[in-house]
This record gives sequence, C-alpha cells and structure tokens, in this order.
Amino acid sequence: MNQKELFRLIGLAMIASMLLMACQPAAVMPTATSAAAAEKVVVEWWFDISNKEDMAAYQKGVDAFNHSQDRIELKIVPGQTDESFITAINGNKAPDLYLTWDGSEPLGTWAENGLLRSFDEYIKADNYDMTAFHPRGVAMGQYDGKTYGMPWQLDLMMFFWNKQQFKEAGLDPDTPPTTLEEVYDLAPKLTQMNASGKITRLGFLPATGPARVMAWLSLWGPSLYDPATKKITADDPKMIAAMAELQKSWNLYGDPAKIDEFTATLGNSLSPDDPFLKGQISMMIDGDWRTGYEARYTQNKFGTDFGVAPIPVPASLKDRYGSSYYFGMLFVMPHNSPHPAETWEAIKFLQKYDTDVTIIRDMWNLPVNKKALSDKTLRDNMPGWYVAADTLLNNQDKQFGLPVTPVTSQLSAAIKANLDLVKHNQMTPEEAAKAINETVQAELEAIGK
Amino acid sequence: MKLRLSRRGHETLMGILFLTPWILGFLTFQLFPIVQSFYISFTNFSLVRAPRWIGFFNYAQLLKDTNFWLAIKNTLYMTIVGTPIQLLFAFVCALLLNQKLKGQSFFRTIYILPSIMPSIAAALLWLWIFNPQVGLVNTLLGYIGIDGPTWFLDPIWSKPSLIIMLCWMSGSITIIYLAGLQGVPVELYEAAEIEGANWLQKIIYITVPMVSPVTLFNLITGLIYSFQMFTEPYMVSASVGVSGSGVPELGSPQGSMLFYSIYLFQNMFAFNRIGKAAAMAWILFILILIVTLITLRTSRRWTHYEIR
Amino acid sequence: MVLKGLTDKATIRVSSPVLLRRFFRALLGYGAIGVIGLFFFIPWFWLVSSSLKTADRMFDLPPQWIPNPAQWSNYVTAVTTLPFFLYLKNSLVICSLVVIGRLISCSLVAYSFSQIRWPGRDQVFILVLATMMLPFQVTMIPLYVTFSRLNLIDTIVPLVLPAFFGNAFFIFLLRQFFLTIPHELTEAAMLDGATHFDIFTRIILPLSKPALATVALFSFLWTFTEYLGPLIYLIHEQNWTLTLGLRGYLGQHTAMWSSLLAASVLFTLPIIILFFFMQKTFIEGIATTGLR
Repeated sequence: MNQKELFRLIGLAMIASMLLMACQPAAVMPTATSAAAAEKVVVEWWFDISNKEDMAAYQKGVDAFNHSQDRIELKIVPGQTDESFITAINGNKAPDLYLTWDGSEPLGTWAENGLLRSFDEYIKADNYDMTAFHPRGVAMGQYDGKTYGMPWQLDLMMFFWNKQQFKEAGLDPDTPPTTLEEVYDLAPKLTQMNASGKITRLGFLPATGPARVMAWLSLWGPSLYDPATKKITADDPKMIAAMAELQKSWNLYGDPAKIDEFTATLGNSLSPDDPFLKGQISMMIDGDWRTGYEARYTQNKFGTDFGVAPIPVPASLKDRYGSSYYFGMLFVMPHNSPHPAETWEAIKFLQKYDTDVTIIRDMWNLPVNKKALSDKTLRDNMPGWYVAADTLLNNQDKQFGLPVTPVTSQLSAAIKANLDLVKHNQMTPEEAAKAINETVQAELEAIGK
Repeated sequence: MKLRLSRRGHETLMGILFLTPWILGFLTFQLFPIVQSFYISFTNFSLVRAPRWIGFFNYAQLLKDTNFWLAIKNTLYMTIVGTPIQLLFAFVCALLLNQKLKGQSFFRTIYILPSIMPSIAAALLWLWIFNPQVGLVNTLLGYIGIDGPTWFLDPIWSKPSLIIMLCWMSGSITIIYLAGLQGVPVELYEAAEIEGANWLQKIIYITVPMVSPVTLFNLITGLIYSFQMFTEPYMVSASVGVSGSGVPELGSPQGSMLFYSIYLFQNMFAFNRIGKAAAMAWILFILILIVTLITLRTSRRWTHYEIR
Repeated sequence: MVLKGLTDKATIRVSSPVLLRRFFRALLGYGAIGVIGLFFFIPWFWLVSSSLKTADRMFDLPPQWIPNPAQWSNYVTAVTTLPFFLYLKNSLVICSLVVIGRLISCSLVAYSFSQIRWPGRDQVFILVLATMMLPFQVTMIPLYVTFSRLNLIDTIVPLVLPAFFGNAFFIFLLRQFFLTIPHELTEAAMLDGATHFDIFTRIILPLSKPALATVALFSFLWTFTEYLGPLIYLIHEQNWTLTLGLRGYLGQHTAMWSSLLAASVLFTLPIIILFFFMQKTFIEGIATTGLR
C-alpha cells in the first residue's frame, strides 16, 4: 500500500482505538457515593496524593464522616498540589478545603497575603477544645494571633539503629547511643568498606535531606526569628554551634563526597530495597514513619532487628535528649471557600480521636490528638511507633519547628542551601549564618513594603 | 458593490487575513497577561491582596540577591556551553543518519527514542546511569581503571551530566537537521567529488554552509529554550530528593543546578513573591532578546540562503 | 574482478581499490552509527529491562541486564492499578486536537509571513518571535483567571484552544520552510488568476509535507508530555492526562517503581508508532525543498 493509504489506515486505527477506550469503564478507582446528592452540600477536599493505597486509608475517614450525617458529603480530590491550590484561589475556583503536607512553610505566607480564612470564629462558636491537640501542632497553624491552620498529623524525626549489626560488633543491641560523641565512636566500628575504599556499609548516616538537617538543628533548639524585632536570627550561637557540629559529622569519613556517593542509593527507601532495612546503614536519623517500613517490608521484625529511640544529643546538652524536629499536615480553608461552615464540620470529625486512630493504622504517622497519641491499640499493634509517640508527648518544650513567618519558605530554602555548602566544607558556619540572615531579611523587608 | 483595492492594498488585506488566527490569539491569550505581568513586576503583588506599587524595588532587590546571580551564572553556563554542544552532537547524528545505508528507519527511531520519553522517566534513568557506585557509566569507567566522579551529586559535574542527558534527548534537533540535509543539492557533492574533495571537506565546505539557515533556527530556538529550561533539571532535583524527605531540593547539589526558570518558579509558588517573579521574567526576556538579536545580526556573516 | 557492490543490486565491474574503499566507507558508516546508536539505545534498553524486573532485583548491584525472571505482569499491574487507558484516552484526545489546531493556524500565519508582502510584516514577525522569549510562568496565572471567568476550568478547552491560534515556534519553523519554495511556482499561479487561498492549498501545503509532519509530531510529543498545564486546569481524576496519572504510582510511603517504569515505556509507544510511520514523509520528502 502506498503512503496515503497507510496514513488513512493509521488515522482510522487511532480513531477506532479512541472510541474503544471511550467505551471502557470510566474509572478503576472507587468514587464517592452520590445517591441523593442533590440535597447534600458537597465539600471538596484537595489533597496531594494520587496513590490508591494512600487514598484508601484516608477514604476510611471520609466514609465514616459521610455515614455519620446526611447533610454533607465530603469528597477527596487527589493530585492537587500547592501550585494548583494557589492558582485555583486566584482564579476564584477555590476548593472548600486543602490539606498541605508541610504546613509550617507556607502558612505564614498564605495567611499574610490573605489567601486563607481563619478558623477563629468557628472555634469560638463551638467552644472547640484546642488543648486536646499537641501544643506544637496547634502552634504550627497560628499566625499573627489567629488560627489559620488546623493540625492533623505530625511527623517527628527519630534515631534508628540496626540491632543485629550492634550484636555482631559486640555492642548491646538494646542500648542505643544517647550522645553524639558515642555515635562518632561507634560509627567507624560499624562501617565497612570494600577493596577499593568505597563504603559498603555506613556506620552512621549524617544529616542528609531537609528533614534530617532540621532534626540536627533541633538538638540545639536555636531561635531563628525574633518576633519582637522582626529580624531573622540565624546567627544565634546555638545555630552556629549546630552548624559547626553538622560540618564535623559530615567529615566523619574523610571527604564529605564519600557520603554523597553512598546516599545516591537512598532514593530507594520507598521500597523493599530500602538501604537501612538491607543493612547498608547501621545508624541513621529518619522520620517516625520508618517504623511503618519495617512493618511493611520486614513482617514486623521491628524490636528484634531494628530499634528506634530519640536522637542522640551533644554530651554538653544532655538535658536536650528527647528533642526533635516536628512538622506536619495542616487543614486550611481558602478565603473564598464555597462552604466554610460545612468544611468546619468535616474538619472537626477528621480531627476526632477515632478517625485519627483509623487512619494512623495505615499511614504510620503521628496523630496530633493527644488521646490518640496514647491510644493503646495503636501502641500494641504498631511496633516501635509508641517510642515516637512518647517522645512527642513527653518532651513538648524541647520540640523544634520552623517559626511561622511570612518568609518561612525562604528561610527553609536558605537554610537548606547554605547548610549544603557548610556540609561540604564550602562555607563556614558564620558565613552561612550571615548569608541566611541577609537573604531572608531582604525578603521580609520586601513583604513589609 | 465590489471594493476595488490597489494591488498593494489587496496584498495587505490578504496578509492580515491569513494572520488573523495569530492576531486573535495574541490579543486574547497573550497581550493582557503580558502587560499585566509587566505592571506586576513593579508591585509587591503576592497573591490575593491588591498589588501595591513599589517602583523598581523588585528589580533592585534582585540585583542584590546572591541566588539571582547564581541562577544567571548557571543558566548562562548551560546556554553558552550546552547549546553548541547539543547542536553539534545533533548535527553529527543527522549526518550519520543521512547516509544511504540499509536499516536507516530502524536507526532513526533509535536515535529519537530518548526525546520522546516522559522527563520524569528520563531523569530517573539518568540518575541511575550516573549513580556513582552502581551506575553504568562509573562501572564502565571502572573497567578501564578510572574512578568516576559522582556526576549529578557533584557540584562540578552536575551541569555537564545534564548536558550529556540533554544530548541524549536531542532527537528533535536531529530531526530538523535531517530535514534540512534533504535540501542540499546532490550536484554540489558530485561536483566536489570530481574536484577530489574528501568527506571532511565536503562537510565543511558544502554541508555546513548549505544547512546554515537550519543551524540558525536550531541555534535561536536552542538558546531561547536553554534560557528557560525548567522541566529536566526540575525532574532531576525532584528525583534526587526522593530520599524519604519527599521534597525536591531545588538547585542541589550545592546550588549548582539552580537555573533561572527554577528560581523563578520557586519565587512564584514556594515564596509567593509574584511581583519579584514577574520582574525576573522581564529581566530574562530582555536578556533573551539581546542575545537573539546579536545572534541574528552576526548570523548574516555565516548563513547562506539559496539565491533565487 | 567482478564483485557485488554493497549498495547496488546489480553486479558491477569495479576495480578492487574502489570496492575496498566503498566497503570501508560503509563499515565506518555503520560503525559510527552503531557506536552512537548504542549511546541512545542502552539507556532505553535498561529502562525496558528494568520495567520487567521484580521489585527486589530492581536496584541490584551490579545491575541485571536481562531480567530473570522477566515479570511481564508488571505491565498488567501498571495498567490495572490506575485507570491507565482513561488517562491515555484523555491525553490522546487533547493531543490530536492540538495537532489539528496547530497545523491549521500555524500554516496560515506562516503563509502570511512568507508568501505575502505587506507593510510591517517583518516587524510583526519579530514580535511573534518575542513572545517565545517570555517565560511561561508569568502568563500562567492571568491566563488561568481568564479561563476561570469563562468557567472553563476542569475542561480541556484551556489546553486545546490556544493551539488554534498559532504558536511562535511552529510559525517560525513553517515560515522558514515556506521561504524555500521557489517564487516561480507561486508567481506563475498568480498570473493564472489563482487567489492566495488557492496557492496556499494547492501549492504551498502539498510541497510542505515534511515540515507539516514535523509540526504534527512535535506538537503531539510536547502536548503529550506536558505537566504544568494539565496540573492546574484538569482537577478531577477522570479528566487527568497520563502525565498527571503517572504520579499515582508514588505514594507517601510506597513507590511502585516497576509499574512506573512499565507505564513510562507504554507512555512512549504512541509517539514511537507515530514517528515510525511518519519518517518517510518528513525525511525523504521532496528533493528540491528543504528547511533553507
């Protein structure tokens, strides 16, 4: 056949296949029941998840809410990120509700710029008990004396160690190090290298990635922002000390580049290939959710093979043991949310103790509801999880989070960028502090204009 | 009544008539956003609240912003170093694919296969290929006794790694070159052969000048694209950042991959500094305009259009 | 010495040195193509081979080249975990419409810039080029607001409509191409009383098949892989394109790498098919015209 006929054939084939696909069932995933939806108020909850498993977990909470009353129907709209959220608000196509993954960063900016509606009137009207929630979680959602974000789930950074490898090295597997000096001492004993000097097993993984770096800072608990003078204070002596120690830890094995080489394999932590579970790292700082990996991928060998404890602190700061970096999700309402009152009802339900418990069972995060943090069924059925829960409950004053300011995103970015240079010996802590102060202060002044 | 227009008037009318789709599109989709973004660059517009005029503040702030200069430096590197390399590589590939050999359809498909992959897959793929310990490249280098660098994780090697990845994905440039090569008259080559020219001389004295308009097109579009490059570095950073933190570390390692478009995106969506982002956009526009005009000006010397 | 020439079908009487030279030239040709071809092919091969691996062998060191066992079911899992074909259909519909829109609008506009002489033509052309130079982020939000006022959010209209109004890159491409069509042809037609529209449809378009095919292929490709546009305009899942849908393989604490890789391979199939069949058209097009 000649070209013309060939093209015609392809064209027909494409049209035919498109028609075939159009006839296929519309969705493989379950959609919310609509039934007599004409009467109900539909509350759209935008959320950045697209994975079926994750959605199923959150859907349980949604279904429970929808079954508990007839007036409102809550519906998750997946795949919505901060970008699509902001764009929609600007275009007057705002959703009712949005759950942001890391609330502490954008909240100040969004609140300052009038993007969000505050929850205060509803809290007051219902006499809603905010003390039921962990104070740090609550603080995350507050800006300028008002509540713009309702906390939901938190994460806390913890210390993990491989018990088997401790045993092999002649150490007590059930006693983790409690000071950094101990960690530095143990690391070389647990590190293994191959014939060409490449690290095959890392004794201790220094802080890589933003959450771990923040966790490192939390051990000193620096103050990064002074609300009285409205100045960024990255040159706080605690911050300088933290950065200096960070640099020291990155030089533990010689050239910091060696650690980069090794962490190139860390991208597979969301799979059975996770390097820690495979025994490639003996000690590391990571999020509380890691206890869920162990459950998912090692059939609950947690407790026997792996341990979790608060992060070791510098010996000079022994009383800071139990401190860590917290961050988490926040419910926010756009200023032009279509159904604020109904949305409030949905939020209240989702923040309830039982809803929390149901969802945490699948997601392995930490609830912000204090009662759920002490829930017995969660503790008994989720190995290792209770350690993180306890740390959060018992050390409220020591927990460190980003200050809520209109420039927290810039602050976080500046910290990441400059500390990256400090880690690799490209900058001194003092220079980094100065750079962070300058960059972020300029942003703060621009906003004040 | 028939309207009698002069020949020139008629031509103008037809010219504008054929131009109508673009005119309508420009007025509806482009003019207003463009003008508005220019205005916003002089305000402190952040999101919802009405913008307030602050004059040149955004521009002044940018000039003092170390990240701004870092972004410009990185972007210029990719443009000045990366674009010619990609063009040269694509040209060589087009030459190879233009030979009269059997199985060219097969080879051509292979050569452009990479350019049709979704960027997230390409980024994951190359992160793996460039993996310092187990990646293909360092493994091969190891066979010949070289200790390879950490590629995407090394601030010195991250941009070259990106250039290599972009060359791999340069299939679209190759295609355009290939189409252009079809237009070189065979008689010229035959005449050259009679005069005893070898293959290299033929390429330099016949092929290159004859496809120079294509080169100009590829150069200009390549420069414009390179200045605005966003997707590939974003995908690489996003994939590197999947280490439990889930957040793309824009610009890593150590700021070496902070490109202009990425910093603009960060200012707009992460920091919500729309006014500042608009100022950045207009600075970039001026920069691209200047570079394009310079390229066009100097191109008169080396482009050769068919004399008609 | 009588030997079969490597490229000719008939036997030719040639002298040995010439034959040897031809042989080496072909060898070099294949060699060069082959070596660079490996550069293009190996990563691709790695992708396909990884998409067939079981989850635990995926990140082995040293990497496994031929997966054993080859888990073809990865592909089945990939297309059943998400409404893969629904997303594919959405992507294809949008791409096809964009291709049609671009072909029509860009060729019309390019004709104006190349075949008609009117005052101010070249200055307006520079303006068209200039629109390519403004970063997309900056016009993104005002444009969104416009579409939102027209209540067109969560439809494909914002993604498809602009294609019917021209695109600077393709206008540029087609203009360059049209400029190479000899004036004698168009002038002769005009003398015969043809209108511009006649010339456009009967002379220019048929002679521009390679360029038009290029426009079609690239439009399809770039629209198919677009992410940011669909992200902000397509809200509910049933409207998602494949680029949005691929995120469904990555969860908060899980990542279905094999499915993601398998889906990525499937993702490229429509374009490969399109390209393979279109090759002849835009490469071995016409001998007299080229992108000059």
